[in-house]
Amino acid sequence: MTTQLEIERALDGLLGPGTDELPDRVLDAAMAAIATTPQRRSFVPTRRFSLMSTGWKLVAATLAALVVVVAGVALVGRPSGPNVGGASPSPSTPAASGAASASASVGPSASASRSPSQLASIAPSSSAAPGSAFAPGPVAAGTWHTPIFRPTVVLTMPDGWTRTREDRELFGLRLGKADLAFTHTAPSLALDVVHRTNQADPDDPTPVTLGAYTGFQTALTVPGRATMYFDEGSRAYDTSVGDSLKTWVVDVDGRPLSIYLSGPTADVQAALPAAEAILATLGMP
Amino acid sequence: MNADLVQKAQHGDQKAFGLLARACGDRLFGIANRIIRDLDRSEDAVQQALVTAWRELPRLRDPERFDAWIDRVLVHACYVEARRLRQWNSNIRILHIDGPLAPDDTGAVADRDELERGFRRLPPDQRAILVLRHYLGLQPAEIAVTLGIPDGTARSRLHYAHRALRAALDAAERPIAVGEEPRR
Repeated sequence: MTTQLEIERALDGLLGPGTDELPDRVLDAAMAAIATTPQRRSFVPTRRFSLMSTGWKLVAATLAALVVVVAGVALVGRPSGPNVGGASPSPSTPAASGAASASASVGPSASASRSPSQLASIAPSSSAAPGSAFAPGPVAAGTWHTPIFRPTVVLTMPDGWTRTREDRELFGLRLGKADLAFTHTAPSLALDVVHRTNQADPDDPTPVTLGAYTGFQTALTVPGRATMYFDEGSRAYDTSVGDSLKTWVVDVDGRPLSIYLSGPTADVQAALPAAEAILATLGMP
Repeated sequence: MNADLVQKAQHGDQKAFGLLARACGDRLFGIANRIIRDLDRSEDAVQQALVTAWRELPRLRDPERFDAWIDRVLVHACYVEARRLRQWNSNIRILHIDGPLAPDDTGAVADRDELERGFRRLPPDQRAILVLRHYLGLQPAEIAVTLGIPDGTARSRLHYAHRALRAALDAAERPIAVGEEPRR
C-alpha cells in the first residue's frame, strides 16, 4: 500500500523544479503573432475617463458615437452572411500593370456583375502560376490561382463560387452562405475559443490528403454563439447557433495551411461536396 | 512581477509585454511540460497562452496578480493541448491497430515509470492541480486563486488526484494473474 507521504515525495521528485528553458523561437513566434494581434477592450472603465472634465467627456462620447455610426453604416453596407475575415483590409491593387491579363482572368459570367471599382482592383495573372488570377466577384469554372495570398494556391473551380476576400494572410471563397477560407492560423486557437465559449469539442481529427499535401480534417457544430479567431485574434468570425465549421489543415513545407468551411449548417452541408472537389485539386507551385 | 510593465502592456506596449513574457517564459514552459508531458505540445501551449494573454490583458483588473492570471491562461491552453494530444493519440492507435503489440506490462518496471504512467492517466485538470502543488509549491488556497475555482474544489481535486495516483501505483504493484487484464 502506497502511503500519502510516499505519494507526496514521489510527486515532488516527478514534478519538482528542473531545468526548464523556453526556447527563444517560441518566444519569437509568440511576439510575432502578438505584433498583429489587437488587444480586447477592458470591461472596466479606465480611471482616466473618470478624471476627465465634463467637456472632455462630452467630446469623447461624441467621438465614440461617431465611431458607432460609421461602423454601423459600414456594416449595413456589407453583404449578409457569415463574416470571415471581417477585420481584414480589402485586397490591395498590385503595382504591376496588367489590364490585358486582368480582363483575360475574368470569366464571362463574372465581368457583367462587377462594378468599375472592382474591375480596377483585379490583379494581373502571375506568369509562374497556372491558370488565371482570382479576382473579386463571381468565379467562372476553370483553373485559378491566388495573386496575393501566400503561398500561391492553385485551384480548379466549378461555377457558382464567389471570391470574397484576399490578402497575404487570408483568401476567401463563398458558395451560398458557406465561406471557404484559407489562412495560416493555428486552428487550435479558433477551436479553443469555441470550446471555452460553448464547451463543444470538434470531432476527432482524421488524416486527409488534399492534392499533394497531407494533414488532418475535423468538424464542429457550434451549439451556441461564439466568436472564433482565425488569425491569432485579428480576424473574427461570429458564429450563430447551429453553425458548422469544417476544418482541413495541411502541412506546407512545415507550415500549416488551415482551410475552413463555415456557415449555417445547411449551407455548409450543401457546399461540402463542391468544396472537397475543389480542395482535391489543391496545388502550390 | 513589475506592475508598471503590466500596466504598460495593458495599454498596448508590446516591448513591455515581451519583457514580461521573457520573465515568466521558463516558468510557463515548466508548468506546461509537466502537465502535457510532451515538449512540442508544451511549446504550442505556451505560445498560445502568451498570445491569449496579450489579447486579454486589458481585462486584468489587478496588475499585481499578473503571474497567477497568466498561469491560469496557460493551464487552460494546456487543457486544450492535452485534449488534442489525446485525440491524436487515439487516432494513431486506430491507424496502427495492426502494428506491433504493446510491450508486456507484466515485467518489472521502475517506480518512476509507474509514477509517470499513472500520472499520464490522470485527466488534465488533476494533472494541473498536482503540478501547481508540487512544481510551484502552491497551497490549496493559492491553487484555487490561480485556477479561479472555489477553495473547496481545489482541495477536493487535489485529494482525488492523489487518490487516483495512489490507486494507479497500487494496481501496478499487484502481480497480474494469467488471463487477467491489467487494470486501467
